Amino acid sequence: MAGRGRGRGGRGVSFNIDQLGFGRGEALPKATLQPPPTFPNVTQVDKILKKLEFDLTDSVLYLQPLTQQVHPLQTSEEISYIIAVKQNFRNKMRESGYNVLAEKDKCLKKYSDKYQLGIQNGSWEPNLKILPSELHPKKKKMRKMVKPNITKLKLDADKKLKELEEFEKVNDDDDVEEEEKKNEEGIIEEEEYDEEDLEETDYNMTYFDNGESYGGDDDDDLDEDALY
Amino acid sequence: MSSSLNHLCSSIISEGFGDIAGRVSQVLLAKGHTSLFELSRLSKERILTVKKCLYTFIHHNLVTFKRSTSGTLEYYIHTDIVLNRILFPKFIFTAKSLFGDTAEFIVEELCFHGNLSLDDIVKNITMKTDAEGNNQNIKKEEIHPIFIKLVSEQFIKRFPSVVGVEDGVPIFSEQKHNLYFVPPMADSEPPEKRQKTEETENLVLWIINYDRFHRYLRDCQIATAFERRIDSNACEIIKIILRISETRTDPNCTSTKGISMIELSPITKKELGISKDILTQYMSLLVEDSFNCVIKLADSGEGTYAIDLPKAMKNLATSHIESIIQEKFGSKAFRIFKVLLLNGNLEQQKIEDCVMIPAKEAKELLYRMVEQQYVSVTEVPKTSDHAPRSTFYLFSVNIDALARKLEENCYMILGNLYSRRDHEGKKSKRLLEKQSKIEAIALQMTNALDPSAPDHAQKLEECQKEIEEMSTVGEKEQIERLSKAYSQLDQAEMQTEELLFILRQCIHYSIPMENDVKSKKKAIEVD
Repeated sequence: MAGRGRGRGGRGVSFNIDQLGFGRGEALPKATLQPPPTFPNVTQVDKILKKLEFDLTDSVLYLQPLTQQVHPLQTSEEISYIIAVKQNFRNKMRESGYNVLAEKDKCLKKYSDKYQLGIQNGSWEPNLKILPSELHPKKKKMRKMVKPNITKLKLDADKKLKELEEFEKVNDDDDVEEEEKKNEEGIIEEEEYDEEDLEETDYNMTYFDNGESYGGDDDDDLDEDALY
Repeated sequence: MSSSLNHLCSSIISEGFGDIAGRVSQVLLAKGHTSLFELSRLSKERILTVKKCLYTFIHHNLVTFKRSTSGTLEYYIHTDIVLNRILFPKFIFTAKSLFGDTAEFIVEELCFHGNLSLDDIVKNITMKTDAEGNNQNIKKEEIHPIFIKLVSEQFIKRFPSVVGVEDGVPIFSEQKHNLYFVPPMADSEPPEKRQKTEETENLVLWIINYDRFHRYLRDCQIATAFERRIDSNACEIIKIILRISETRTDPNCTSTKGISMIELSPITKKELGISKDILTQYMSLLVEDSFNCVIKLADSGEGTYAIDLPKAMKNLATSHIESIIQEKFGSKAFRIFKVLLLNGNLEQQKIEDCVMIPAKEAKELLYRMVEQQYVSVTEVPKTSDHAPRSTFYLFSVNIDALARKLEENCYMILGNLYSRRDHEGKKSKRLLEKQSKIEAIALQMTNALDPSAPDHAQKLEECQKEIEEMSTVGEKEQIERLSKAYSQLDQAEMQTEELLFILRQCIHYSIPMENDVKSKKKAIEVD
């Protein structure tokens, strides 16, 4: 309802076109019927590539189309020295111990490890004083190696042997031996019994399907009927 | 922190400390304060590896730690210090040009290791020179005085010493008065005392004072700007003023302390051979220059002069931005930009009149600059409904905002350069490995040869031939191309970093300093 009474058509916009800088009789720019050019502008990129002598064909292009000529980079003795320092520093960094490599899995030894040259990093010890204790490398717990007191043991063993010898001399009867044998057999029998017990707990032995649970579909049908 | 800054920082770290460290730093940058276990979980690295990364970062002063209120230890990465790693080659070069080769070695060692004790520095340098087999062996006695000079000029400062440990976290001392104090050399002490002092000397760790290097580089930029504007003598005069004022002024101050003509003239006469009359002419020229960062404070002492640093940096940044506009949009657009810069807020009609360019063209250029956010628009409505008919559109240029926008662009450019270099390296990894192997073999072969043998020269030639045959012509071409690409990328990086440095300094000074704010507050309270 708001637009009522302002005439039909003619003025497509609600504000004065003069505001945008178009004169009264001036033609407005035509509506664009084409899609905008694809990004990035391939011909421009090609030009840059030729200039830089880079092979960029294998990477995603982020280059914006340039509207102006590219300026050559500054060169001077100072700059070339700094660049040399920079490259030297970078290589040194890469070969140093500061290059953090992944902890190798010690359990898995690969055959190829033997022949891998890779980067041989110099090691460095962190200054533990400036680190929080959380980051300190764990100290390996040293197991206390207790030396057995052999002399004492030897003495004890001699004593025991003598005692046993005496004991043998005292109980040198056949009856005693027989009794001992019987006892041993009893132990064996008991062990066998134990094994049988174990077998009985086996799932296969006790499992028995009497077939009662089979074909209970009818009950289900009845249940469904009861729903009505 | 913006994503482009984060990307740049993580690429800087992965170049210096390896890809794994880069991945860990990405998490640190994205999350801010992070605990060890969270880091390990988010970066999908083992705890042991993350620990290794963290203590490497702490060793290089990139990361600090703090107990959070909940009791967990949290790590935080400082992007400012990470960005300093781009400037390292410049720091090394500065040390060389100011104090010679020995200073270069000292600064290089400190850049490389993060923090070191004086003993370690000496040890490393002597080891290095021995390994190179140069005749110019540097002795400890030579290193010490230059080290003291570097410290007294504040290019190197003490690493805060550990006072105690609380809850597994070391506490650093916050003393500032002895930052630049070098303990006396052990050899000059009597032998009984020696052991004690040696111990303390070993405990003191030294780091690079980034701020001082920044100040020096800033001074260089200002001086070279004057060289371009006037001549080399003006540049030298500015350098002298800045050098004298460096030790006197507080680093947080915005402008240098005044320097009188009486002080200045003997120095210029001695160093440049400029008489007093010519000096006064130069000074008046410098004050009248449109760069107007040299201020005449008073007439006392035959004229007292100071340099307004924020203004100098802002002017430098402005001229960089202007040249960017000129290259990006052409000289006509530059005219519009300049008009806006000089007159502040202008209406479109007024701009068209001022720049003397056909209205239609001017409009197009102006809108293009608005579109890319180089020119800002302010709406001033007459009525409350913001109807376009009854609204003034004022166009203006905000240098501070533009500096921030371009700073962001610089981060992106640098990040891209790092990515590109990384990619180039990875693509020809095998080739580079082969090359390094060949070099190692060549070194071995030449070492194995007996120079005293009669057919030495012939054998050497044979060796060289053999080595040359190891790599094909194609490979050689590729290596050459790669090294060219590397140097071009490095060069581009250096130039971008120079612009970034100026922009960062400009932004640094555009933020009101603490001292200024305090003094203003005081003034208000007094009123």
